[in-house]
Amino acid sequence: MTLSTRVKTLLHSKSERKRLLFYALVIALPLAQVAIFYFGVNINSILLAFKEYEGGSYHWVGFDNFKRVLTEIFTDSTAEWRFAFKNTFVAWIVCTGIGMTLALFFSYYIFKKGIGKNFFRVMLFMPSIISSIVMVILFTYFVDSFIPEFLMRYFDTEIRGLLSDPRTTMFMIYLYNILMGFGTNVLLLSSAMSSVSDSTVEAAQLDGANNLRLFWHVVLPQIFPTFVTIFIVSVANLFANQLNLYSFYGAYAEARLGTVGYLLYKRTVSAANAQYPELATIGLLLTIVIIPLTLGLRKFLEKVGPSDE
Amino acid sequence: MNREHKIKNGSKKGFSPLMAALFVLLIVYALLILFPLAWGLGQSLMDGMRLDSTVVPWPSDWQFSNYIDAFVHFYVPVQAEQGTVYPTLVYMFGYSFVYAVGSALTATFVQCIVAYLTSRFNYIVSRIINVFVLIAIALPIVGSLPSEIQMAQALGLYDTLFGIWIMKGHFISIYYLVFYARFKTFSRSYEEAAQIDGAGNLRILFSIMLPLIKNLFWTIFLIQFIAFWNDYYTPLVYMPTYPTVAYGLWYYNQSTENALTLPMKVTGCILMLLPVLVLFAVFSKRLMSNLTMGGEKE
Repeated sequence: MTLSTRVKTLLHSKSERKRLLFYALVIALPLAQVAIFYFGVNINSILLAFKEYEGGSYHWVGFDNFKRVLTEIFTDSTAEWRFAFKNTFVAWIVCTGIGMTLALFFSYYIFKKGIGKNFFRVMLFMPSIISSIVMVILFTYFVDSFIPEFLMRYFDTEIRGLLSDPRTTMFMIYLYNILMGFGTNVLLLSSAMSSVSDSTVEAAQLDGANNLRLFWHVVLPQIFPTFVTIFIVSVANLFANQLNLYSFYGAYAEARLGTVGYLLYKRTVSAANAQYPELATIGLLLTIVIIPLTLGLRKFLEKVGPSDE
Repeated sequence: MNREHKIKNGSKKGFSPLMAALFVLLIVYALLILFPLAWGLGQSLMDGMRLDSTVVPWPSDWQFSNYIDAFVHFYVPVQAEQGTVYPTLVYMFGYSFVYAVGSALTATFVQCIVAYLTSRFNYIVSRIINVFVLIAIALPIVGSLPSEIQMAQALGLYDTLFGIWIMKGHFISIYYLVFYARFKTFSRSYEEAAQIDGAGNLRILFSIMLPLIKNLFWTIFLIQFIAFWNDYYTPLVYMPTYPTVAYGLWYYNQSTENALTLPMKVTGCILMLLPVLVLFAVFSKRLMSNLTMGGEKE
C-alpha cells in the first residue's frame, strides 16, 4: 500500500480519524516540552556561543568567544584548566577502571549466589538511594574528625584529617566516588547476568571450567552489550563528571582538585547574563570533542568485543 | 557422576579463591558504607555540647531532643521579594516533598503515556520519536545549563514549583524505553475486545492499559521520587526561593553562618535519610527488581 493510499484510508475511516485525533492531542504537549527544553535549549546554546552580552542585550560577535575561550584554555594563566583536564581523565581512568571492574566481579558474585548475596545486593544498591550530600557530610566528618581523633585517643598517633591532608585528599575523593558508583551499574550488570541460562553454566562447569574461566568465557561475552552501554555512558559523561566536588566544597574546591564538569557547573551557578555566552562556547567545544569520541568508542568496542557464539 | 550431581543441584554455586577474595572485598565495601552511617546515627544522639566524635553514647545518654532542636535551628536565608526570609526545616521538608512528588509524577506519567502512544499507534511520528529518544540518550551534550536557565526565565518557569514540574516532565529517559518495551509485549486483542465493547481511546488507555502496567508505573515513580528527593542541584539552580532539605544540608555544609554543632548537622542528615530508608524498607523488593527492557522482572 502506498503512502497516499494509506493516508486516504486513514482519513476516510471514522475510527481511524478518532484514533489519529486522540494521538495528536495526547502527544502534542510532551512534544512541545521536548521542542522547547531539548531542541530550543540546545539551539539557543549554540547561538549563545556566537553572541556577547553588552548594554543589556545580546549581540553577534562571530567566533570571538571561541578565540577567547581557546586562548584561556591553552594559555591557562591560573593552571585551572590544566588541572581540570588532567583530573577529568585521571578520574575517569581510576574510577571507571577500578569501579567498573569491581562492579563486574561483584555482580558475578551475586550471580553465583555467593555467601550473603542478598545482604551485599542491598549494600551495593544503597548508594542509589542515599543522598550524595548526606553521604558527603557523613564521610567528611568520619575521615576528617573520627579517624584522627580515634587514632589519637586509642593509639596516641597524630594524623591530619584524611580529606584535609593534601597528600590524601585526592585519594579520598576517588575512594568516595568509587564506593558511591556501584548502585545502578551492579543492578544493570546483575540483571544482565540473570539472563545467562543455567544450562550454559552447567555445561561449562561439566567441561571443567573454574569460576574465573566461567566468568571470562561464558558470562562476560553474554553481558558484553550491557557492559559496553555502561562504559559508553561513562565516556559520554566525561566532561560532566564533577567527582562530587560541589557537594564536598561548594564553589571553593582548590584548583588542583577541579575537573572540567566541576569548573563548568561552578561557573554556571554563579554566572550572570554576561558570562552565559562564554560558558555556552566551552560547552559547544567540549560537545564537539566528546560526540565523535563516544560514538567511535562504541563502534570500536562492538567490533572487538567477545562473541558469545 | 558425583561432580555432575553437585553441579546440577546448584548450577551457579561454587566457592573458589575468586569467590573468597570477592567476599572479603564485599565485606570491606559494606563496612565502608555502614560505618559512617552507624557513626552518624550515634552522633545524632549525642549531647550537642560534647565535641568528641569518637564517643558512642550509651542508650541511657541518647539525646532525642537533637531531632526536635534541628527543626528550630536549621534554617537557610532566602532572598525573597519582601527581603531575606529564613525557612526552617519544616518548610524545607514541605518543598522537598512537593518538588519530589510533583516532578516524579509528571516525569513518570509523560514517559508512560508517550511510550503507550509510540508502542500502540503505528504512525511515522511514533517511529521518529523512538529513534530520537535513543539518539538523545546516547548523545552527550555538554554545557547547555546556561541556555536552559535563560529559557526557564523567559517562559516564567524559573523559581516556581509548577515550572520545575514542567521542566522535569519529559520523555528523553531510559524509563521511556522500559515502558515502551512493556507496552510492546501486550497483545492487540486487548484493544480490539475493548473497541468491540464500545470503549473509546481514552477509556482503553485509562481503564485497560494503565492498570496493566500499574506495578511498573509505581516502581519507576519510586525510583524517580528518591532521585528528586536527594537532588540539590536543581533547587540550587532553578528554585532559589524554595530550599529543599537536600539544598539546606548542602548550604549548611558550605556555610559558616549559624554554625551548627556536629551532632546537629548529622541529625539533619539522618532526618533527610529517614523517609528514603522507610520507603526502601517497605518497597525494597520492588526497587531492586530487574527493570529490564522487557519491563519489570520479579
